[in-house]
Amino acid sequence: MTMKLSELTPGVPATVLQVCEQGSPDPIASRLRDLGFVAGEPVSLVAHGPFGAEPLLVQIGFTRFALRRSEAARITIELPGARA
Amino acid sequence: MNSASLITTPLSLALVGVPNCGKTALFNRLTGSRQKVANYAGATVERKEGFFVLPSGRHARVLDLPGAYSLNATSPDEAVTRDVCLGQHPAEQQPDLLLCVADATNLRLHLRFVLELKRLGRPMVLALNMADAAARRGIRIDAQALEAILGIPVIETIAIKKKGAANLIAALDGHLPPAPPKLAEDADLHAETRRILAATVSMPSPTSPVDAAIDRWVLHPVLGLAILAAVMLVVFQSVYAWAGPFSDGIEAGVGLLGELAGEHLPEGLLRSLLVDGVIAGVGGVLVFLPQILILFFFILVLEESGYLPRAAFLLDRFMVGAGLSGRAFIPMLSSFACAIPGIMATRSIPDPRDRFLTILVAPMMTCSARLPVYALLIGAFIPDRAIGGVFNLQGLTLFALYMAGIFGALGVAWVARLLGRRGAEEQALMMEIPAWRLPNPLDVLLGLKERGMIFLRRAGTLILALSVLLWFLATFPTPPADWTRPAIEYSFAGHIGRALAIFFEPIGFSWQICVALIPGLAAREVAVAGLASVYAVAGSGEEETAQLLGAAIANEWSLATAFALLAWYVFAPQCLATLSVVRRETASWRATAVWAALLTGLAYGAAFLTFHITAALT
Amino acid sequence: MSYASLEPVILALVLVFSLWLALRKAAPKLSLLIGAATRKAGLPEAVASRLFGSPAACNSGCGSCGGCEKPAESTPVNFHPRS
Repeated sequence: MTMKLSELTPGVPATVLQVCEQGSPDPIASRLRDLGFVAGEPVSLVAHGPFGAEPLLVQIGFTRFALRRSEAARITIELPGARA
Repeated sequence: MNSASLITTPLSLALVGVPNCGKTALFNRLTGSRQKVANYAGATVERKEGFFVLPSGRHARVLDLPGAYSLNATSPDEAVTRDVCLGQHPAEQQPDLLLCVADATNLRLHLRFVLELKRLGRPMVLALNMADAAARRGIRIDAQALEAILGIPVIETIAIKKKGAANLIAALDGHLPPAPPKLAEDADLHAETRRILAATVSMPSPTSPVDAAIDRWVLHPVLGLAILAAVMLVVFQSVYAWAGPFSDGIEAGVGLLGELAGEHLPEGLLRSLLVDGVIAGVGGVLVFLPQILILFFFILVLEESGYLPRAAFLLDRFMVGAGLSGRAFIPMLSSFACAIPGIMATRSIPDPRDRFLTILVAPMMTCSARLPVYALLIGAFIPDRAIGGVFNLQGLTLFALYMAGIFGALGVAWVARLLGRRGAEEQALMMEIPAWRLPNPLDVLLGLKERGMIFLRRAGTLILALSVLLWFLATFPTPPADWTRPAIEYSFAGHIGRALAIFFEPIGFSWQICVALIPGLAAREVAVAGLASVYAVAGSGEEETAQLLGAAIANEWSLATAFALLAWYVFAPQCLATLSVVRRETASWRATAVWAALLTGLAYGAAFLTFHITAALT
Repeated sequence: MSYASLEPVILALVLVFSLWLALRKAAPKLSLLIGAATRKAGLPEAVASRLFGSPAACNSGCGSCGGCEKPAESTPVNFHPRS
């Protein structure tokens, strides 16, 4: 099953499929890739901020990043079991 | 190179790494206190350079480059790192050796940047930092295999330990390692990183369980905010609770110096210059050194521990709601030290309206130069009383003043958003939440020393010069023999002050305050020196020793005047350096004029209301 | 020389020194501008740099003294070195 990272339930492990560009060039998308959001990387949602469930705390690899929903929406992910 | 020239030419190193890799701690370990902090030419990016001597006697010069996630720079800081590494920086030499620092507990992210640097084909050494923390978490790294795959020397370091860089220093001595084999231009760095990690590292869990447990509390939607409020309260309480004895000591020293000078110099203008101008002026500002050090102690500890990005995480949505771009957080945070780097940091905000809005409100964050003014007035007018057993009324007042600045800024941003169009543009956050770290006392001390030196240097140059000039203005021309009022009223300062007082009378400022506001334009804390000089010159006729400033103003001013001056200081766009930076960053005199008029108007309005409300209540 | 006759001299020296220090510290740009003018008026380069600062060391890119190599616009953001 594929979805956007912004739609993921906290605590559920998933895998990055790709980062989609919004407009070109999209510096945010290329920075996300530099930060490690590339295909095959394990990703999960750890927490969100107190107001309006924004921003999101995302675990990618061994690092945690705070991302806005709009940034997380660029990242498509895959839930495990989808490939099985 | 023969060994003689190895010793005579200093080795130039540059520390490069991803933010939070412990680069600065390693820099401190390598250089001790032999550091020079300045700014890169043309940018308010901090430039840190240090020196040390290798065991062979060869000298080494280390540049601590700003942290960067990638050479694809998205901020002025990262641009400096990129330019220096590429040898394209106009004022920096390309370093002989890139000393890459990577956090051993976070190699996935850090190794990718190392590979990106490897593309440059420069001699490199990789310092695997926090080797101890990695071992504690059961992370095993095969450093020899890593060295073989990367083709560059890999050395384990523990930057927070005293001898933690000894291996590294030994490795740097002698001949430079050859430049590593170049990576193919189109190589997939992520795939390469994964391949290397799989071959050399075994990692039991992605994050430390302790971190996860702390974050469950600190980032909790309700508890997290309560903890944030408590932390801030404790900080401002401590500024008062701890500084008292130190400030009293400095004050007594300054008083003693004044008395000594008064006794040993013959009566005359020169004595007045030294006692009323220099000692009263510079001493009046020096008294606040302990407060500034305590505030920065907390800022450094919070920064080193990794709490600040978590605070930003909690408050992010709140700031966006007020109409500020989330990118405004870092500029606003820097503005608590000084508005100038804060305003420069707005360069990372792409939308011009967002950027101007942030420039407009950043100076409302209470910069450290305002602290002496606040501390003087609070000390003189707010009783030192305990509230509810734990809190101190003076500390609470300081907290309230900081809050007034923050909420004033949010309010202005909110109104500006209502009036202007609603921003539909993309707002990037992408902020790393680093692992928790116990701050290293040595690094905190070095940071404090740096801050203290900046303050003392200003006191010894700018504040000294302006105090002396103000003394001249307050002393000359000397009144004729038949002048019956205080001599200072006949002087230039007296005339200027009374001319300005026409504007400032409605908000309760006396002409003495108006005089002090003028040198305050050069730097906010000089207003304290100004007040000290004005009251010392005015008082020197009647009393032998210079009256202490706090006692003097407590006698002369009403509570309403003191509160009005505080309100003025929360908002006024006082220092000229900020003005010139706004002009440069907006590249428009019109925008600068709008900026200055808005903030001055706000300050005047706030002081007017404060004065009249307080006067009515007391 | 008596103390009384020395006092005005010391005061004048202190005044000039403070004016200079305040100029350098509080208005470095103005100082550079004055330096440029004195260079044109024939003051040796070394003296002018010592007194009013050297445009080469400032390099702030403000454009007011003409001594800069650095362009005045702000650092480009999102510039990629390899493209």
